[in-house]
Amino acid sequence: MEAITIALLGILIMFALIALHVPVGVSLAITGVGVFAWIVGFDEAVSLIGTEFSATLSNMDYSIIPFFILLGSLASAAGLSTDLFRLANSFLGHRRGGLALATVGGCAAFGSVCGSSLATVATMTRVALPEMLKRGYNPSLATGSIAAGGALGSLIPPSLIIVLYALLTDLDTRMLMIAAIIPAMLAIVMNALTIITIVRINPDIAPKGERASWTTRGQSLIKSWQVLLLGGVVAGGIYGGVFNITEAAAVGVVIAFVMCGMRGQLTKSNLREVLQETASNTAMIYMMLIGATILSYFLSISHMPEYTVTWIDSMNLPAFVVVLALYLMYLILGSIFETVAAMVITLPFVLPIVTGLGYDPIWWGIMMLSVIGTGMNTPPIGMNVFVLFGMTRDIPLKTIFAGTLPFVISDIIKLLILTTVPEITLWLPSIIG
Amino acid sequence: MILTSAIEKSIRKTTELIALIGLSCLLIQAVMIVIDVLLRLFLNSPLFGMEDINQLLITIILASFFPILLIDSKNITIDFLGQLLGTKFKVWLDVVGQLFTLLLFILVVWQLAIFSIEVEYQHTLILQIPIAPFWWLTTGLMTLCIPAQLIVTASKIYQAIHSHSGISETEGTD
Repeated sequence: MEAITIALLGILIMFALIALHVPVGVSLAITGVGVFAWIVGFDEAVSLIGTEFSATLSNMDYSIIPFFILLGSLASAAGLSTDLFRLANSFLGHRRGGLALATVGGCAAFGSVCGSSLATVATMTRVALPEMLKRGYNPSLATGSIAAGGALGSLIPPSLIIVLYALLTDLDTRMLMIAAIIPAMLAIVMNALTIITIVRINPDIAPKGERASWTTRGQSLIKSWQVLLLGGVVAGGIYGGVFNITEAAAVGVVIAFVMCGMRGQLTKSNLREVLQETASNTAMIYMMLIGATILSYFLSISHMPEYTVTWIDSMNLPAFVVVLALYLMYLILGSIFETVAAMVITLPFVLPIVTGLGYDPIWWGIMMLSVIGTGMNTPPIGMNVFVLFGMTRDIPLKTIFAGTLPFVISDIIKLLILTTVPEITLWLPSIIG
Repeated sequence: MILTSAIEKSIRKTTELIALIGLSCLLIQAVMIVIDVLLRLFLNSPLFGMEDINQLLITIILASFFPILLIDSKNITIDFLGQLLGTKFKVWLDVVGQLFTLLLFILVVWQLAIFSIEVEYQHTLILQIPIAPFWWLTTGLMTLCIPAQLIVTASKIYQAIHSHSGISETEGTD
């Protein structure tokens, strides 16, 4: 049997295993080893497990993963998200839809510290949703703005998912984070415009709040000094070139730990939560990384990416159409898979196609993360929506999905802008790099 | 089941304790990195051999996190098919997923043990610390994944059989 036929069978087996409830990382690794054994030999394939596990576990570049996860967990435990929401609320809460705007702002700021969409949604649901509902906000707008804000988490640097993309593609993490700045700002602006448009059309769904005095605003600002310091040190350190990304994450961990202690949040239950979250999420991401690496071995020896690129070339499709088809695929995947899983499973096939079409891998990384983020708010299984639904059983799933719809539309517009003008993404890396 | 539950409890406690030690080491490592950064920035004199220590430490820290991942069944799984086919099939699909996970971790431990033997005479680059003891420790921690996963698999099989017999009983009653 030809290597490419075996590879195609391998892909089918991988999806079959995933469908059979085999964990995604395990499915990738088992498929990779199985097909590698078929093509090369059993001993070589099994030894791949040992070499890949040992190489990945001891790789210091990857150590940024546990540091970032621990940083996010500690920031959550310290209650930094509440400070951010209060700060944004004191400046925006008096406007119609101001609390929804504050939620998006709070999500963006918290996402920049914690780097995970789901964690951002879970945290902001606890912090912002009760406040919005108490103020008489329509549940659809309230939940929609949290889900939309949560999707920003993976795009706002320093984001864990951007780090993972950089590690999987051997790209410069700092360059990717710099490239994400303008698209992330555009996403925030688009979300804000969406909220403003919704409340203009239907003013009753988001009542105005009381205007906070400048004294209150000043107090909120002073109260938020810790989170501003944390964000400033981590982001400033990375962009200013003071330390590398791993060092920045480690510095962030130490600051967040001290803040947790200062706020009296180093309780037994908080520490237990931090422990379980950090340990399980770190091991889960490593499992997927190792699985993806093992899978990529069989893909490269079967020359499948090259075959795919040649096949797409032979169809003579415009590059733009191929990219749109990939967006559609990621939108569907993003609605079924978690961001990391969707990226890890597809990257080995998709990246050669995109770079083969002449697109920049840095640009593609940002686009892919944007579209997967949108998928997380899209039916039938948008993960952000399900996290929200799991935490607020009183609000029907249909209402939450209806709330995310305007944001999904604004995300699609943003995607089209970033696709037609790639310079928006690549300009900053070109001048800073 | 009382025996299984007692074993599960003790394995769970062990995995939590190991993860807690790992997390503490991660915090210590973060502090060491901060000290290294500060020394480099202000005294132009970073800690000697930090790369070696970091590399050895991170391997053990990460290995300490895998058993808790397995005992808590926190791996990402797509249960779309199970939801589509109903509870009766879902529980058996869960068993399939756990069996494959068990198989992979048996292979991992076996191969890490071979790797630990292979690096018997190797040392770190700067501090010349022998690396084999660290890899044996890593292998030992990963070995705990097998009983952890065995417990999860056994529990899923029990659930599957139990739910199956439950359905049969209900059907019989009807």
